[in-house]
Amino acid sequence: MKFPSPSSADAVIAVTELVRHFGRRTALDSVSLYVPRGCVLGLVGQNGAGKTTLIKHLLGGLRAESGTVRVFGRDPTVDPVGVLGRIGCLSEQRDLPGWMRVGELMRHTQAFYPSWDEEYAARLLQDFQLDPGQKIKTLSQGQLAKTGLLVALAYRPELLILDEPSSGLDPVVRRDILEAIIRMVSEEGRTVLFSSHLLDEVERVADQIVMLHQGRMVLNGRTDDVRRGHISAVLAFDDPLSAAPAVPGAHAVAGSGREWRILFGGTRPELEAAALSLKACVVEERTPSLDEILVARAGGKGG
Amino acid sequence: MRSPAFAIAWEIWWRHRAGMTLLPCGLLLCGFLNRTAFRQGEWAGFAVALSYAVLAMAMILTFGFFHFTEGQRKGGFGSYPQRLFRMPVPTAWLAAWPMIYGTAAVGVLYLACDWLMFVPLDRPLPKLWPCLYLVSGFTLYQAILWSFPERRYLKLFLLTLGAMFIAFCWMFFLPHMIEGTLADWGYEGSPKSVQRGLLVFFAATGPAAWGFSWLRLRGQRHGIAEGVRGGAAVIERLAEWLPARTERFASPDAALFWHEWRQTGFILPLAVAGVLAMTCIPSWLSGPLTGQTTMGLLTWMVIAPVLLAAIIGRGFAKPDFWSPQLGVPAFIARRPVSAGQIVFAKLKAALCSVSLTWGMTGITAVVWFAAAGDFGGIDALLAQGKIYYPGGQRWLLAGLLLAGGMMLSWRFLVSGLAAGLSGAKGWFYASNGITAAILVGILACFIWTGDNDDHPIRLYNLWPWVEWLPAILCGLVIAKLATAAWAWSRAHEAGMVGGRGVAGYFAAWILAAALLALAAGIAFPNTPWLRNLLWLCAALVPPLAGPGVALITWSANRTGGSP
Repeated sequence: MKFPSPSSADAVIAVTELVRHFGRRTALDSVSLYVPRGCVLGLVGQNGAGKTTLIKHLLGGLRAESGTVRVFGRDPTVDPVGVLGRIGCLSEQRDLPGWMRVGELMRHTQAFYPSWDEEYAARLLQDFQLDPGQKIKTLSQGQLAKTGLLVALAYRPELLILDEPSSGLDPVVRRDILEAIIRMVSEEGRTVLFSSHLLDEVERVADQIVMLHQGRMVLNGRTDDVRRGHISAVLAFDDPLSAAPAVPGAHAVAGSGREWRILFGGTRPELEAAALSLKACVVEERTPSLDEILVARAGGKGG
Repeated sequence: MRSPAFAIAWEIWWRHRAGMTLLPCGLLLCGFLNRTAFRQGEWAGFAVALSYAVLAMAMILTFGFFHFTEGQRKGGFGSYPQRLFRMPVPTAWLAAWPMIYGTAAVGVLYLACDWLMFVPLDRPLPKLWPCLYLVSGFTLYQAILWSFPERRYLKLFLLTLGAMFIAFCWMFFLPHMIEGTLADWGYEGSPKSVQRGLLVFFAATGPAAWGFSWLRLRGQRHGIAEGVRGGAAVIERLAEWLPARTERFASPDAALFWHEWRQTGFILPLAVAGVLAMTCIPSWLSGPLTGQTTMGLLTWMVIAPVLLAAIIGRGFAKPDFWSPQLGVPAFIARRPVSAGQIVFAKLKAALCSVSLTWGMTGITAVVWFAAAGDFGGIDALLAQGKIYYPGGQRWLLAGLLLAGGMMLSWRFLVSGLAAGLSGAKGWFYASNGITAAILVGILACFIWTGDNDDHPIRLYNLWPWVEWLPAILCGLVIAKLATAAWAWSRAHEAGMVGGRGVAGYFAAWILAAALLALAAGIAFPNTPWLRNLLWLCAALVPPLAGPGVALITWSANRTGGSP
C-alpha cells in the first residue's frame, strides 16, 4: 500500500496534525490526511466523529488550533478567494436561500466562477428535471440536493467536497446524485472528498477511505486494501467460554459458548497464529463489508 | 412539565429569560428614580417624557418576547412552531396559551409602568382603553404572524395595515382630536358613544383573533391551508412582486450586491412607507391641519427615515437580516470572495436603500403637503430663511441638509457592521443596548420638547458640558482616524481589500465630511464656536473606522474565530 506522504508535491489536500476542540470536547485529534489529485476519498465515521469539522477546516470555515491545513498548497483561511474558487461543495445542510429561484441561483453562482460551463449546467438542469423558475423554498428535499449539486458541479471544480450529500434522500435521488458524481469523476478525473454514512455508496465510488472515530483517524487506506486487510472469521474452541476471548488483532468479538465471530485486522497467517495461541481453530472466514469494519472499528459488536 | 400550558410558558420564559429578567429591573430602576430624584423640580417634565419612551421600548420588547414563532431555519421567526403540532394538544389550546400569556404580559406591563413610573410623577395613565387597545393589538399581531407562515412581506404589509388602523382609532380617545374630527365629519352625536363603540369593537378583536388563528393553525396542522389562497394570495404576490433575475451578472460584486439588495434593501423603504402611511392617511382624514401641526408632521416625516435606519440597522449589520444567528451563512462563506467585497456590497445596498427611502419620503411629503397641509408654517420658515441666507445659499443649504439627512440614515444603517459581522453575541448585544439607550434618550427629548413650551432646562444650563464638547469631539475624531488607519491597513495587508478600494472609500469619506462641513459653514457663518463644533461632528458622521473593522471581524467570523 503506497500512499502520498507529507512530501507529496501534488497533494490537493494536505492536513497535518490538525487539532480542534469545542469546549472540553476534542473534535479532531492530530488528524493528518493527504489526498492526491484525481483521488476519490470516502470519509466515514459515526455522527460526531469529526467529519464535518474536518470539512469545515478544508473550506476555511474553521481556523486550525494547531497543525496545518493546505488545499492546493494554500491555507484556506488566509486565501479564501484562491482556494474556494477551485472547490465545489454540497453539504448536508442545504444552505441555499429559499427566496431565490433555481435560475437565479445558477446565475448568481456563475458570477463567482469564470469556469462556469453553461452547456453542462443546462444539461444537468435537464437531467435533474429542475424548473429554473421555481423558488428554492418550494423544492423537495431531493430537488434541493440536485440543485445544490448542479451549482457545485457546473463550474467543473478541481476539488469536489460532498458532506453527506444523500442524507435524507430516497434511493432514486441518491442514485441520480451518485451517478452524476461518478460520471464527473470518470470523465474528468477530478478530486473528490465524499463524506457519507451510506457505506455502499462510498464503497462504490471511493478509491481511498479514511475513517474517523471520536476525532481520531483510525483507518486510512485504499478501499480494496482496507477490505482485504480485515477478515471476518468464526473461531471454534474446544470448550465453551463464559466470556468473550481476548483475540490479539481483533476489533470486535461476538458470540457465545464454543463459537465466536471476530473481525480481525490483519492477514490470514496472522489470524491463524492468533487462533493457535488461543487453542482455537478458524472454521469460517470471509472478506467483511465496509459496514462491518466501520461498526467494529467504532467499538460495536460487529463481526 | 406538568401540562402543555406550563411547557409553553416555560419555553417562552427560557427563550427570553435574560430580557425578561432585565426588563423588570430596568422598570424598577426608572420607578425608583421617578419616586426619588425626578419627583419634583425641573427634571419632572423630562422624567415624564422619558417614562413614555421607556414604556414604548418596554412594550416593543414584550411584543418581541411573546410573538411565539420560529423559522424553518434554526432560531428563525417564521411561523407558529410546527413541532408543537405533533403534540397531543388540541389546536384551540395551542393558539390560546401563547395568546393568553402575551395579552396578560402586555396588560400587566402597562399597569406596572403606570404604577411604577407615572403615578409617582402625579401623571397617572388612563387604564381601560389603552389596555384594551394593547391587548387587541397584541392578539392581532400574533394572529398575523401565525396565520401566514414564512410569508415575511405579506406579514409586514398586514402588520403595517393593522398598526395604521390602531393608530387611527387611537385618535378618538384624545380629547382635543375627537371633537374637532367628529365635527368635521358632520357627526352630531356624543363622542363618548363613539368611544364606547370602539371599546366594544376592540374587546371583540381578541376572541376574533384567537378564532382566526385557531382556524389557520388547524389548517397548517392538517395540511388543508397550504399556501395562501384568494385575496391573500393576491396581496402576497403584490408584496413579493419582484422581477426574476434573468440576465447574467457582470461580476461577483454585482452578484453580491443583488443578493444583499434583495435580502435587505427593501426593508427600510417598506418600514418608512408604513410610517408615512400611518402619518399621512389619518392626518389627511382628520380634516384641515394648522400650520404648526403641518410643520410637526413634516418634521416627523424627515426624522422617520433616520430613526428607522437606526433600528433596522441593528438587523442590517448581521450577516443575515432574517436570522438571529450571527455566523456567516454557508451560502456566502463558501463563495470565493474577499471580506472587502462582502462589506462593500452591504455598504452599497444600504446606500441604495437610503436613496430609495428618501426619494419616496420626498415625493410623499410634497403630495401630502399639497393635499392636506397648511402653508402657514412653511411660509414662516421660508421668510426666516430669506432673512438669514441669500437666495443661492438658501437652496444650497437645503440641498446639503437633505444630503446630510440621507448620510445620517446611511450611517445608522451601517454603523453596527463591525459588531454585527463579528459573530460575537456579547459585542453585538452591547452595541444594540447602547443604540437603544440613545434612541430612548432622543425620543424622550422629543416628547419633552413637544410637551413643554417653557423648557425648564435651556442651553445655558448645559454650558459647563458644552465647554468640554470641543475636547471630547477632538478626542473622538482622533480615535476614529487612528482606528480607521489601523483597521484599513491591516485589512489591506491581509488581502481583504485592494488598494483602490481603500483609496476610493477614503475619498468618498472626505467628500461626505466636506459636504457636511460646508453645510455647517453656510448655516452658522457668524457663530464660530458652533460652526467649529459642527465641523468636528462632520468628521464623525460619515463612517470610516467601522467598515474597516467590519472587514476584520467578518473575516474572523468566516473562519469561526474571534477578531
